Amino acid sequence: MAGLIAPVARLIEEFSKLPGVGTKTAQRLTYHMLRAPADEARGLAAALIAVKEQVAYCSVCSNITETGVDPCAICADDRRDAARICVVEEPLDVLAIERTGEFRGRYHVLHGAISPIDGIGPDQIRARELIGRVTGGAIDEVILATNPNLEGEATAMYLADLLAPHVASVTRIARGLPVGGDLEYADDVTLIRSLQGRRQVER
Amino acid sequence: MRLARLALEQFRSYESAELHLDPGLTIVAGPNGAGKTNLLEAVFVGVTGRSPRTVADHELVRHGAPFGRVRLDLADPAGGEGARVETVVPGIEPPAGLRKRVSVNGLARRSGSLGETVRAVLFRPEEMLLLVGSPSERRRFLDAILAQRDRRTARDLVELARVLAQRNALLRAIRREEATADGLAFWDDQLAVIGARVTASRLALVRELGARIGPLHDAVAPPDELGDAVRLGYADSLKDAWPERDAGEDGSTLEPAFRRRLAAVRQKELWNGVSLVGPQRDDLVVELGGRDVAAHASRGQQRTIILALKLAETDLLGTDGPRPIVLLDDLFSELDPERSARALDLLAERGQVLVTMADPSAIPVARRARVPIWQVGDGRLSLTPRVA
Ligand SMILES: [Zn+2]
Repeated sequence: MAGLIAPVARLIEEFSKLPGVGTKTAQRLTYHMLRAPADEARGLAAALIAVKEQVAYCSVCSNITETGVDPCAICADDRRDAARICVVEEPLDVLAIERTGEFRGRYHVLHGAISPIDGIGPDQIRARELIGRVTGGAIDEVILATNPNLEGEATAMYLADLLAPHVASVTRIARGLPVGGDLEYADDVTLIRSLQGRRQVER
Repeated sequence: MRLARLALEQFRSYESAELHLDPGLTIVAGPNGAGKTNLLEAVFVGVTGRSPRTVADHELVRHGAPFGRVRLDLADPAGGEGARVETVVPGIEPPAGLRKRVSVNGLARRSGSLGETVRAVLFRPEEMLLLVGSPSERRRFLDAILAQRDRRTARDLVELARVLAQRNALLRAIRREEATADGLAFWDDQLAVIGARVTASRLALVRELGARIGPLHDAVAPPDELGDAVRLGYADSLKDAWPERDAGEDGSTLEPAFRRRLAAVRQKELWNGVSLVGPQRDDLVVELGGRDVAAHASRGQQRTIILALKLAETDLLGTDGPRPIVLLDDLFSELDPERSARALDLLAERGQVLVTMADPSAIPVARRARVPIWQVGDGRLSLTPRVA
């Protein structure tokens, strides 16, 4: 970038590597940092380094954990049901399910979904680690909670085949109508899937 | 529904513009490059949520603007309630969190369901090559109709493109020995299921168009072109894996046919690294007097057939939803005066028509006097006073 002094140009360049940040936004962020007190810049730099140095992957479930805390807090919690594993694509999905308080088993984080366009096949998601966990024999159920899109379904199908010989029960999360929604306004695919996934009324 | 008013903000060459339309014919005139096509594109984007010219939505936004907006004010000629359809398109650097948004009367809608509120037929000069051009043009012609008529098919078409992109990427990876063929099972399954549905929809559409085209062809044709019958057909890629092809309507035989055909071409697909079965390989076949039109019909005969196809599209869209707004882009540069006058008469009978032309004098004076003519220039629109 002509006319810019080197440190400014460098920060703009670094910011524009971030997802969803274009040149204009990178410039805005850079000038914000220029005007901000030195402490704010130090705080941001320290947080950026800490996220790389103090975060590791759990050797059991592959979720992110603090460096030195392995297995992670969930895997180490023996009040949780060790015979049930919920498989998700990303660490954020663990947070979402934890927020519900509905699942008391453990997790397995794939860090992705099968997507040939992006060069992600079975070897690029942490499937082998999952098989390693279930071949021990003590797992009753694996819940496949990958996203309900093409790539998530491809991943779930692949894992279901792989897991079948080792686990008594492999389940897929149901796809249904959003709570508070009107049948009338639901799109057809959602309606069709919730009809296909219907179940006996409990009484 | 008829389009009463089009309002644009930061769309292509327009910073801000407004166009009021007559219930019948409205003309937009101006030199080439002034932005006439952008205006028809805007109506089409407003009606369908997507551009006929680009898949990169940010190209629709005026250079440097954070987002663009198209607003259609629809009126119900029967006196019922109108509707306001709004599409917001993010520019190349949109404000944080802004995504493409389609709404009807302020309520968010999927663009695939807009066809229940408003429809349009766009006729571009390039379509004069529909019959001699590549099969992809003819598939696009069919798919654009399907996407407006049925939101499930609209969704299938999007999903099918995604399945094919993933499947082709996997086939290439297998060819490079970076993946194994057992990963294909899921994508084969998706291709068979969605491919069968799309094929069934296209077959039904070709049959419906075929049932209408005869009389429309004769209405457009000059006397010396009358006599030969137009026949429409559909060439699928299933070959002998679909022996039930001629047995009639039942689409339920299609999915097993897809699976058989996929199994038969497996090795060839692995060699080629590309999907060889599916709606992406099919074609609309048009015959005149029993002979293929691309090879045997004259230019004039082809134009007559294309006009008849567009008329059939207009009629068909009007049978099961709102009567479409007809958008004619520079049609008169491609047709002789007689054929264009006949075409315009026939289209005007069918409802609302918005026409662009470089020189409005191509329209007979008697008609021009009754029609609003908007002049485009410098990214602005102005209504020219009607001639007395
Ligand atoms: Zn863990």
